Amino acid sequence: MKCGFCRELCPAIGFYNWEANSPRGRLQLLKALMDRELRSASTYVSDRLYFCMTCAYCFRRCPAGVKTHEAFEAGRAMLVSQSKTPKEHGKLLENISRFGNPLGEPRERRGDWLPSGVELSDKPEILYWAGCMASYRVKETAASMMRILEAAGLGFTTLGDEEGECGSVLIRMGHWTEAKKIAEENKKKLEEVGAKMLVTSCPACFKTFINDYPKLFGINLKLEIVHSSVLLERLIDAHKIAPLRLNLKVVYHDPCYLGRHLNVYDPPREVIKAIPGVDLKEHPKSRWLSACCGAGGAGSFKYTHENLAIGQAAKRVEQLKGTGAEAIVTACPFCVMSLRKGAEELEEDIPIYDLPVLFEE
Amino acid sequence: MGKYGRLTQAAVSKLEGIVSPENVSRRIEDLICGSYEAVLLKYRPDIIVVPKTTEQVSKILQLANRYRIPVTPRGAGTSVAGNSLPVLGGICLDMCAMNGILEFDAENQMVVVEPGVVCDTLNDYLASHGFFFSPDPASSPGATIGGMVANNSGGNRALKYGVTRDHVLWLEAVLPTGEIIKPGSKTIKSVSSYDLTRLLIGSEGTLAVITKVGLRLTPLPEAYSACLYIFKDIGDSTETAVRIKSSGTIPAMLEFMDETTSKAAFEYVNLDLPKGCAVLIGCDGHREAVEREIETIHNIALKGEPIFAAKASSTEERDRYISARKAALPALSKVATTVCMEDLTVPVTRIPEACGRIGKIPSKLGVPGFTVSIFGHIGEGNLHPTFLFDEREPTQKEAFFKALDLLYRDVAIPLSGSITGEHGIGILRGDYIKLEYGEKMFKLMHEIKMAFDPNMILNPYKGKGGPWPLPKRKGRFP
Repeated sequence: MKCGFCRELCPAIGFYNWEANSPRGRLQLLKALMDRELRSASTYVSDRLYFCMTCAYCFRRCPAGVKTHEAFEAGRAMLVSQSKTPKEHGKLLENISRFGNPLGEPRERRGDWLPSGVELSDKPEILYWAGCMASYRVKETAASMMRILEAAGLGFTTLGDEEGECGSVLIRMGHWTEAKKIAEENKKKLEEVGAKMLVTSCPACFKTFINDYPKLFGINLKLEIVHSSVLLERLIDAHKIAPLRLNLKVVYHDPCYLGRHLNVYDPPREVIKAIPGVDLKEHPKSRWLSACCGAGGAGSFKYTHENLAIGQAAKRVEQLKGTGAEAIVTACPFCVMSLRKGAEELEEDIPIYDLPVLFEE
Repeated sequence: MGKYGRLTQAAVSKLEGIVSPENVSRRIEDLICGSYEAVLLKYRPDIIVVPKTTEQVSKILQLANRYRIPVTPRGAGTSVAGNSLPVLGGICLDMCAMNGILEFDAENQMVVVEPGVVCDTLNDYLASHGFFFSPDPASSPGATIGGMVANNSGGNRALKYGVTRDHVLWLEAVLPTGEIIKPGSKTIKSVSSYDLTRLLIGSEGTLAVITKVGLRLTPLPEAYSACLYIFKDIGDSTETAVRIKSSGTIPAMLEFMDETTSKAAFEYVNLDLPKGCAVLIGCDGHREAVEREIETIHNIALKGEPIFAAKASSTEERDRYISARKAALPALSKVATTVCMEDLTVPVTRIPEACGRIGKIPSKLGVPGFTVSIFGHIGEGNLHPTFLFDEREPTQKEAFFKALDLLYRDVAIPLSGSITGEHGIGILRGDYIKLEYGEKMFKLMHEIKMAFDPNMILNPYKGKGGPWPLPKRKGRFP
């Protein structure tokens, strides 16, 4: 329809207010390539497509239901096939290939987050996938989940050093061939464990397993795939876990990949509300209106536009602080990392929790 | 044409000197992005220029006059009549970077904004202060205030609150020759000049470029409720609307959707309701007054024997009904590949006849796959016939342009209506101005245009002042 409703809240437009940098503009550039109005994708087209944070605000805003975020990812895959990608991708691809993570951290340190004393089951019902960010940067997320699962009396395990990239960063950046290889390896690795349920605290991994593997590669994992917020809600309802009192005013930040991409808005809120003493505030820009934290697409935006990512995170922290909350809670390690950088940028001392960590607090 | 100059490198360098090089682009990708809006047609500019101050706009227009380069102001490109399409190429003056909310005065109930501020963004800001800007076009999530002023936008609340011009106190604008003027007054009443403010409002960017707007605000109502009725046919809907208006109650919203539109809209918002012509009514104000108005309206509506009648019993239900109406166009976009919403007005009592004639247009044209549905503001007689077809099929695309002709010649004019209630003349309706107003007024409007724009550089061959018809351009896009 070219209605332009997607422009105003697109975070990219906030930085570079040109039509070509809006979701509508990007779609029209892709259409121009398909219609041969543009003979080939220039560096400018590549820059515009990679400026998108894949937050999917445009998809949820679009009255005609155009799957803009999928069109942009497909556009990036096209750019990869033409070798028209940002230079930062080289290092990321090398890191994933050599170390099994985009951060370039050693494989053998991946499982270091595992708390001592936690017993992993030989016949687990739950396989916990930590993800790269929780393994190396926000270790407390994964460690808290382990202790919560133990307290719930569930048989669980995790892959530790054997875990690698889920494929999310590669998919967001358009490297679908490499992502498919990783998906095939992961299918084998995950199903060999014999667990019934795959649980992850990372919405990017969650979306990749539940949505991208089947849709892009025809790979269906033979496990129920659940985000940790949904599992926590189930465990609370079944009285298998009960939090202690915590007197704190918090505001919940909806991660893009959990909220807009997958419509998971309520379980994290129910978990927060189940903690006695916690006062949950809501910002008007929450749920599908939640502003991106800046990490953008499993961190793909922050690898190519770090300063802007921090700027976006700072804006979001400023917004959330306006609710009068004493702490920010989210359900995504990428959001935790990014919002912490935003708080640092503002010199704000506001604690930022991932949901399992708040629950354990 | 012959009277326009070329965009020389000297002119480009001077433009870069005015706004700095990073705010000028001749990249084909940016030109493509300046060539469309929410309409079927496309026209590509030769250069995009993004000013940030009124002084820059003034210098750009002075330069454009010197070099005889056409200039087309553009907001967010949400127009549906081609208002921001550069039919002769030239400069696309992208006003979106001028998007500041400059001053808010709660006591005098005013706000000053730059033209690039988006309507819903302004209302989000005002809501936190207990006010709102009442014009509510369906494009409010994207439409800029500058574009709304240039178009005199209306929307769902026009019956009670009026249109954009009823809420503009003053403007700052740059004439096509570069002078800066400030028509209007910070006071509600002033008759010390010709009403140039209202002349510019609705001038579709053909008389001046708006660079600041002083808006009059309305306090947020205490309560807002809605009711929904479905009638067997448009005749019953119209009679109900007329009775409601005669009752002394002025609803904030009095909208309708024909059977095709309401079916699509209800499905879109997951409402399981019977087929028929839907009428949505909203009332706002003090709580007790709203309750009384809704009761009055409900009793009137029941006399029309609707097949469905409901007063919203909760905020969620109210919002669901309103969202169904707002979803009319996107819902129809799921029914057909191409959806073109048109715009005309007729006296309210002639709505059934107008809908009957509009309904016959597809069969008159006899092109398979080309249909029409209708929704609109029944309270004001403002209809939005929406043609549903596939623009990739040449016969269907051609049928659309023939349908427009029939819409004005067979419906709007003969039924004492107007060829546009809200969308403006743009590119599509210029040839019909004479039909509605006659030769004298047609010429007078062009003379007004020439008085403002002697070199005809500002959005030429568009809008009320034209001139018309648009000359054919060989070798130009499309």
